[in-house]
Amino acid sequence: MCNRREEIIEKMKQIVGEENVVTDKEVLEDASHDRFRKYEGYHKVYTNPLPAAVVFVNDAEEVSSVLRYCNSKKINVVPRTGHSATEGGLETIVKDSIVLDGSHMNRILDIDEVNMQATAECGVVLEDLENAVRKLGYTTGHSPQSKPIAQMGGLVATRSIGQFSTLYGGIEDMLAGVQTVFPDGTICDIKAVPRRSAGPDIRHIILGNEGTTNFITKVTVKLWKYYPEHQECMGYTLDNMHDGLRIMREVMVEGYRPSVARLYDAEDGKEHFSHFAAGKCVLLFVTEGPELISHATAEGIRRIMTKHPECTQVETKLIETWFANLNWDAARIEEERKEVLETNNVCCTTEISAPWGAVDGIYDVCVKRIMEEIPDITVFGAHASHCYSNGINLYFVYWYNVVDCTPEEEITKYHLPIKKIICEETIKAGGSMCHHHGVGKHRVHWVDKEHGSALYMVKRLKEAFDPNGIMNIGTILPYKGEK
Amino acid sequence: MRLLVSFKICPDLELLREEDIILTEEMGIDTHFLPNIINCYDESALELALRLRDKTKEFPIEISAFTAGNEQAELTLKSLRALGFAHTVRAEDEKGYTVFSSETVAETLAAYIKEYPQDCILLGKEAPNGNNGIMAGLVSEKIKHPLIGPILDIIFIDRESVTVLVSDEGRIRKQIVSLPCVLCVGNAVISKLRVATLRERMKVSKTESEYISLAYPDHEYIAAPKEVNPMIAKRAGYQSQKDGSEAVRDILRNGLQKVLEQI
Amino acid sequence: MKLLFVIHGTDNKIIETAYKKKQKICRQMDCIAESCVYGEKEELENLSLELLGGRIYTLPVKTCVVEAISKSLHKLIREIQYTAVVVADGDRAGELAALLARLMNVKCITAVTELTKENGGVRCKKMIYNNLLCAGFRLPPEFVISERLAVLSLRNERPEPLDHIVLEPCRNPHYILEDTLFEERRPQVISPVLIAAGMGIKRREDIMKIREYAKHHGFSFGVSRPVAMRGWADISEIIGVSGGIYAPKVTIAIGISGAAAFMAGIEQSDYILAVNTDPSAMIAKQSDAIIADEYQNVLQPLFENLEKFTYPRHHDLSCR
Repeated sequence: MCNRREEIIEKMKQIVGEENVVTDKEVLEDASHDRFRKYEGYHKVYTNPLPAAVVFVNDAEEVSSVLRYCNSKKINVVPRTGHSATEGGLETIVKDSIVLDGSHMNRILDIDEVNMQATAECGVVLEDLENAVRKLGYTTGHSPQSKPIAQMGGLVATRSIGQFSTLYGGIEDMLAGVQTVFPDGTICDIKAVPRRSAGPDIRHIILGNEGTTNFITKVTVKLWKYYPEHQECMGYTLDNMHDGLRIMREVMVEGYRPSVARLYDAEDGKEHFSHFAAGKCVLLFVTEGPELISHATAEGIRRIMTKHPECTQVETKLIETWFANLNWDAARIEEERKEVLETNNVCCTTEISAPWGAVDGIYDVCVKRIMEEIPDITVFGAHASHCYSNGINLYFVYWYNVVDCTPEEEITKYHLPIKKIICEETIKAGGSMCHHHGVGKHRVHWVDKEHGSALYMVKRLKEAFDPNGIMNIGTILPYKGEK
Repeated sequence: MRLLVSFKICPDLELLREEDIILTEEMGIDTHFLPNIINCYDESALELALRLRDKTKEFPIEISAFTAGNEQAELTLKSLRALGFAHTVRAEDEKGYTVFSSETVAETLAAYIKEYPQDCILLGKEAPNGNNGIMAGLVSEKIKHPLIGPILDIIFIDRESVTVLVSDEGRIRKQIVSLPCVLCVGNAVISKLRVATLRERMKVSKTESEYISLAYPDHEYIAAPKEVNPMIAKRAGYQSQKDGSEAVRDILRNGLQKVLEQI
Repeated sequence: MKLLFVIHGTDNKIIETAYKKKQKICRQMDCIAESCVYGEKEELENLSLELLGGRIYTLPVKTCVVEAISKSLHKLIREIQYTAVVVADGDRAGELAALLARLMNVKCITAVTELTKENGGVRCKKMIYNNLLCAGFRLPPEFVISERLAVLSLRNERPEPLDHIVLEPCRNPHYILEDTLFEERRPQVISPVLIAAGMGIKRREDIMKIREYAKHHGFSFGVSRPVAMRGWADISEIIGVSGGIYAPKVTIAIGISGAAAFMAGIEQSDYILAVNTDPSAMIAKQSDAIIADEYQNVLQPLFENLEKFTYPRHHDLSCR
């Protein structure tokens, strides 16, 4: 172990205590990557340099001390909470990084029923927060599939979004206040107010920063009353993805806001709905909220659907059963590990967003190109799960057999070429190459095209808040130095 | 050489919520809204057959798959053809009669094997709906091929025999068994079926399964149920209303301590 | 009714359990049962058959092949004119029962959990649909079943005096060309306390910790099949129909849903405590108590309390 590493470890122990600094090889290996390199990880192959330590922090002051030290010594810091990231954002791509883990900061600090807000430390698991507020009859409205494992800090840092976004919005609509720490050790509190016009909305410096400019320590999110008894589910099958997109647009443009509006193409749908919709696309809506609103929204959508004979309604129970089993948890991730090791069949995703006018073209060209250009694909499909008045997202889901290549070659042979096609075609068509998973370290190749002239703003933010470039090197903006 | 795997498509009962349990007239549970899966032991059998075919270089092995069920099985059968199963056979059972009747499935499978003899037949140990665990035995007896199992792995096959690992009440035995035979697959080392690529699936997109009718045995030895009821509480089921260490203390006070003191 | 109880005798634990089950069957059926214990010659010679008592036929076999065993048993059944057969639970119990039923030309049910005499015939129950339903059957007085009976309480009765008859060995059928031991049974810890871990355990590390804890305190440890299939435990640690059947004083079932295949492995426990966040999970109806909380909140205080009761360690070759 070189002196620098020892020095880093020693200093970390002084700041957070010996018991909060982990240097076990297995832990460091696991900490050097995230789910982007899951295939390598399942094979216990670790291509990134191992971090010097995983450092667990317990409060904002410890975070401040750690960052101040790392800033002075130019040590790369990778902020982490739930470890559920999918785009390489948690990879330690340079030597002697530290992974700064906030998962021990896991207290729910306040549930404010008058002001309809809940405050939690960055390490609170979203599902725990959701369960706590549900006991009081509320919901955060935030329900990504990673809910059982994702934690609040990471969810804000990646601009995450959940299954009920069409009604409740993404995390950016839910975040009322936030506390964060910058590389120079400055702890900033943004107070939770309903709205203000006191300069630019500085929450957006924090939202989506992916750990590249600050470490989030505490969040305050809005609450809504929870009305599960008024949920109404509707499901339809249809032949054509484009028809489905057209209908989704109609629902949004007419002004309806279901909590869930999802459209699966036949390939992606096969994984979920083959027992009643083999070879068909599936369109799903869920409405919720106060009884009159939920019911009126459902009625409005049903009326739209009656004008579409190409859609066949399916039994509600089919949708309810599917919905009840949608979320991922640690157990499912472990099952995936065994399945991947036995079958060599891997599932990855790339999510994009596009204006209504572009989404059909993006879907068609991606399907065509991937089928033609990528070998060993076993499934290539997509679903749309977040709707807006001005567009929609597409969540491409693809499975491939890893054939005749080592674990470390898997990404270059399959995952990155697929991502390249999707990102380039999306940007070319006027969409965004990342809807809600973040840029991470593997979409940086297209971030210049993604932002165009506005890349200037992204770069200046980074320079302003992280002048020494110690925060999560290689994320959002490409790293040009030596790894 | 010919190898046939018999498998069952079952509803994924892990996804069934208690509030959704509705009894049917056929004395089962209404599961039409649940996704289907391949019975886990059968899935192992399917993958073992493929691996055996892949590793046997000396002579070709033609593998077939058989199931009894409705058209919900077609997706799986198509995937199996894409993976290289030369024949996929479905005994048509739109009404779900065979969900419970292992003997009808065994009779049908036996009739098929008599017409298309196989060197080795693989089946999973048991399937969830009926919990009978006798299919392999019934088939073995009907076609007069020996039954070996529950097997954990198939190591080797040649024209005369197959070498398998067999579970024996906790022991593992290595047996060389002459062909033809029936292998009953238990907790195999392999549990997941490989996945066909899109191109493999496209190659078989125009192919179809072979369809046969059910064959009914002259006499059924396995008794049919006279009644079914939701599972009643077999034990007291005291539920602590407390959490954490309070719950533990509560449980101790309400029965556990007494039991522990008897030890 | 002349009833024969068929047991695959691998060790004395099986014989002890068989005695309890025979008692139960005789009580429920109001009859006397004789037994046939089959197994390898060396194992049979090491069994303490007096623990089972009564008339016992032993059938030495070279390899447990159902077809060969069923033929030998059928010969005995015809000779003594047994009218009913109960096959004790085991790897091949269902197949053996089905084959015997065909040979005897009688009805058969496998995995029977309850058995009572009724109106000249027999009433049986078994669990189906992953323990979600209980199916009831009626059989005439001539039948074959394989059992999965629970034996919760044991009356303190001495076994009958032993009357042991050795049958002609069952030869290896011609189609077994070679048969060798590949792996011996792993020593299992037999303890009055069994800790069982299921899919509700979210992390491999937690499974390891629970296993370590159990081993350290001399408790038995096992998992549900999906946990082993996930690679978090060895196949030899599976509890249930495809693994070990236990009859401890106390079972602590952590993160277990209660599927039939697993429950068969623990239902003979005197007391079952479930730890499961879902109070309506199947296991709730099959447990004596349930703590509906995250296992992380419960295990420490639970294990601390278990430690107050010390248990001797036992090693045995089988847990059945």
